[in-house]
Amino acid sequence: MPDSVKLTKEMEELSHLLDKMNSGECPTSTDKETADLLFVAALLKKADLSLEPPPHILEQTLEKVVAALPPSPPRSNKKWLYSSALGTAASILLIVGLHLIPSWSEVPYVTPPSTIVMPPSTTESPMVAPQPVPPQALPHEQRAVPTIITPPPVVEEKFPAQTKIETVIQPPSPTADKAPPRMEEKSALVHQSKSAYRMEVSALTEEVPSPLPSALLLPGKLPDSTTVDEKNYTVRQVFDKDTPQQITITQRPLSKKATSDKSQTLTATLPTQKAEKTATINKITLTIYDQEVILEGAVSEQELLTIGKSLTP
Amino acid sequence: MLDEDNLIETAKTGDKDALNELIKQYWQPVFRFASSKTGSPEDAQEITQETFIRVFRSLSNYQKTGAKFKTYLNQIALNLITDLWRKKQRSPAVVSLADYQQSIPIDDQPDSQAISHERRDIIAMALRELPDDQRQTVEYRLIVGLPVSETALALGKSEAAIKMLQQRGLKKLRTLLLDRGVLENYAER
Repeated sequence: MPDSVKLTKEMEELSHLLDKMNSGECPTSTDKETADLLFVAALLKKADLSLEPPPHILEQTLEKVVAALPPSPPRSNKKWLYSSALGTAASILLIVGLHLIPSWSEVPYVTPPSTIVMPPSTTESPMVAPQPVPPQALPHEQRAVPTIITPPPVVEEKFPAQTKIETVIQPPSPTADKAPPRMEEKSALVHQSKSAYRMEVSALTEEVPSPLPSALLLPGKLPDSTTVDEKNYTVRQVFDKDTPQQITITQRPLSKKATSDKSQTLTATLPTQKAEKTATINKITLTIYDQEVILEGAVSEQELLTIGKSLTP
Repeated sequence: MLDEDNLIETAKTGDKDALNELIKQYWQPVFRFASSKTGSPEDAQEITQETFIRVFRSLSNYQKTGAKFKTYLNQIALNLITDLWRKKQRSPAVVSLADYQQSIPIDDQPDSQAISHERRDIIAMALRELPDDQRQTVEYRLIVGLPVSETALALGKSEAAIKMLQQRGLKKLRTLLLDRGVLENYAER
């Protein structure tokens, strides 16, 4: 037998016997050289040396183990779920709150011009009601030094709880250094003032909820003060204030009459108490344009009725 | 390097490095144990992988009972081997005690344990003196217990080359051990 064939046979036999040894068997060989090598192999196994497996087996095992393991602990999933739900709920509440409560979003725009003052009508240019301007939109210089300083609003003490929405519009008062306008100019100014007043009152009534009535106009006259009461759905105008000809016009939608019986009782009793003190004050109640209109003044009831009939929307 | 307890605690969180380290440390003993029980390197490899999967799945419930982690692994491996026997409807390979004692030269008597430790150091040292390709072949084939095919794959060589390298390696190792008097002691016995 050639040496190469014999060597190959020995190699194959040894490999086969080593496989048996790895499988837990105790192989033996009749060949002296192979038996000696088996003895060394057994000694090596008995030495119980430790060794890492080859990288490809390690990677294969690790991949299978990681794939078989649960993806992540359920507690952390729940935690993530709770925190995201809380975040969503908080953002929804914030958005809803900002939209439902007008004061949150509108206060910065409405608060500064709480009292709207009509400028003196000395020019021929059409008057435009001043629009509330957000402070952010103003240039820096304008924000730092306001150019218009309005007098404090006149708050009627009869309705102390209504200060939140109360807005007083005062008529223009000619300044000392200006000459009084001529008759034609005065008529034009009254017309312009009426237009501006109408715009302002409508702007005011637009700001409050829809049930509020728009203020009725008395031709040829401007009110000294106008009070819009959102709570009781009333608009109160005072003409020729603090004079013997003072006329107070209070209007309220008929649909809101039943819901505010308490305030109605209050307004009904006040003139009576005043009547006891000053017998010259008369009061009539009319229904005009689906509104209950109360006219009070130190004039006769006939004159009050005439004034009431002349009211225009 | 983390000790075993820390390694297990870290692996409980699913840390891949810790899992990898545990597999590195315990793959060989589990595989050898499974190999010796099943008699098949393919079955042994499958059981080893399944053992690690089961152990790591229940690692969060792993309670230290004083037993070594290696014992815990071997217990799971043994359960899997029993299942495999049931599945294949066969009994485990029976090895006669006489054959076992004849083929394994180192006895388990207490007085020889110290010699075993001393010899183990000499054997390990002699192994390191082998040429790299022979040493790696002998290590994978006999210490890890891989079949020729897996060893060839791991070392990037043909199966014929592995068979030749393992024969040359064992011959060289025998010469080295004879030179250091390790094998003469056995001859005397």
